Amino acid sequence: MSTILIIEDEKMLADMYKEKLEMEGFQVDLAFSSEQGIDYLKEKTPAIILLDILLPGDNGIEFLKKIKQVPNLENIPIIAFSNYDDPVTKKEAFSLGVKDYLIKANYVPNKVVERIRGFLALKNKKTR
Amino acid sequence: MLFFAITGLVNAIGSLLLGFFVYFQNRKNNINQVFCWLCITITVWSFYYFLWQIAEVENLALFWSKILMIGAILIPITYFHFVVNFLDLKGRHLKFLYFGYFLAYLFILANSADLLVKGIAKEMFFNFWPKAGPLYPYFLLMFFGYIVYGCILLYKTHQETNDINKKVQIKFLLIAAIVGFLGGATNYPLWYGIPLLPIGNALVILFPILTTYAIARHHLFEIKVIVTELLVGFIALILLIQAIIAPNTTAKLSGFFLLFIFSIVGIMLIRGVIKEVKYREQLQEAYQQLQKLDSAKSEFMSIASHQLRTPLTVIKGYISMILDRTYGEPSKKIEDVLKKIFTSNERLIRLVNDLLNVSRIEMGKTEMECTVVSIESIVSGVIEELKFESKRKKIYLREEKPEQPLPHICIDADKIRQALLNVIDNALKYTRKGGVLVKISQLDSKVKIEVKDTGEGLTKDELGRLFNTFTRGSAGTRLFTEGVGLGLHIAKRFVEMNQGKIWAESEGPKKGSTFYIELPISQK
Repeated sequence: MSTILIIEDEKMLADMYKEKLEMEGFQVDLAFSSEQGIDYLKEKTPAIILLDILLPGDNGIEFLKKIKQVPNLENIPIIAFSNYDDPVTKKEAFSLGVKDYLIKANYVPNKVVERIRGFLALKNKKTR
Repeated sequence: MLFFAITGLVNAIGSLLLGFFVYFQNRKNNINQVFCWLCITITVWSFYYFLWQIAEVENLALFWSKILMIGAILIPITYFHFVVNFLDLKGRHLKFLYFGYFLAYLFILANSADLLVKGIAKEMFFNFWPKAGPLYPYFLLMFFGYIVYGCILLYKTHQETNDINKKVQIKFLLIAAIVGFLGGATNYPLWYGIPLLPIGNALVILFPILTTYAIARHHLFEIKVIVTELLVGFIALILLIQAIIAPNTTAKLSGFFLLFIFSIVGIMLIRGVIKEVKYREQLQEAYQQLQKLDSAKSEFMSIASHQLRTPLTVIKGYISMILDRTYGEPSKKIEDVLKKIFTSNERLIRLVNDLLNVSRIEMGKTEMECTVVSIESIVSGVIEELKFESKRKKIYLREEKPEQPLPHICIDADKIRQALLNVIDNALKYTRKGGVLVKISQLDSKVKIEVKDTGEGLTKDELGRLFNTFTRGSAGTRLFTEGVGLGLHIAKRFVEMNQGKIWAESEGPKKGSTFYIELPISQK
């Protein structure tokens, strides 16, 4: 069972995606801030990370900068998942290695699951 | 000879005064302290230059030349020291600085042992000019090495910094260094018997003047004013010297008269330049204010749309999960109601997207991110997304694919997706019976997408202004309340950003309409 880490400060959204993804057979862990996400990664390695960009304290971009310096984390696909649609932030996120930048409001949870499955399939193909 | 002696004296007095002026402006600031120290080394060099130039016996000229060398040895190191402090450099730069002071100490020892100045000879019309000793080339290497490296560090910071004041300061420092040190370097050829007059010695004073200006002032004037002032001052100085050393009273009088006339013209010229520069400064300030406002507006739009989208995402997510039977089978009535909420919510999301897009387009903040993609898959995705709406309205939404698969094309997929979404959604909105057919085909080197509906149709007048902002067809105001008329405008701008073309055709009201999008087939 693949583990997904969702870093999301909006509890309602975090719970909604957790519920949907768990129904689809994933194990989901939540972090409500960038700092919590970093602490989580010190102990566990998820299969994929869904990262919100506007977060309290360090934002998603700071999170990406920090984990770039940590070895062994480069293989975890990260999907920026935010309603903050700013071209400069988007560009920065891609330059820091996110696989995609999805605007939450444009996706129903079903489509999010499809995307996650797609990235995991790609990751498994590469590691084979 | 007297001219060169005077340049030495002017350099010495000017450097000393400016050095202490900067020092007393802020005695605790280490930049000011080191600049004063640099000016003292220039003063030592310049003052003994003056004494050597006016010396009447060879031994005295040789003695002053050697003392002068102490200043010359220390100038490049103190200059580098100044750069290190100014740029707040640490680490290897500090080590390089300490090494420089050590080298300077060795050269001062070598100087006392006649290894830098080996004697005095007559050169051009100078009775006494020092001759280079065996270590003199190494001194030159150190001299230019430290100064050029200091300039490189300044230049790099100039390129990297975003601080406009710092940029201007560094620009002044660089010009000061280039003019001052190259001017001073015109003294070196004669050491090797190369007959080149050290005319640039008169420019040395520009170094402390420009540097003082850069340090002392926060809001720097444009370089144009300084250059004008310096040029006028320099010519006035030459005219003054000429007038003083004129051989007779008539020549002196005409010299002073010329200086008087030149001074008036010069002052007018400087005032004119200052006025122009002030206007430019005001304009620049206004422009910077506008840029700040622009950036604040852009930030506000992004944050506001984020805040609006978040609750809409929750509504969209949970309703779609209910409709997907995540929480069990809803009753038919509840399902119908939820579908209506879902559709309205989608409309709100699209409105937020449209407002954000149109504001970015108007502000010129839209960036292109082109990738090679399949246009067919984008069209299919959009149709899939809008199927829900067509089912709700009980009209068809069909796709007619080309017989042969189309080549992948280089476009900004997000923008083309948004354009198609707006066009097809628009067609659905204005169609009550029948439906919408989306046809993709290849036409020479272009991909053509036709969106044909059996809806309300358009008048000729409406066709002409359909793609303007806040414009809707007359049917829009008559039959529908939703939509603010941004969708087609955004579609047009996004298609055009992708080098494409968009237009609409209609045979008239009640006869349906067809929207066309053409995109060039390009893989780059």
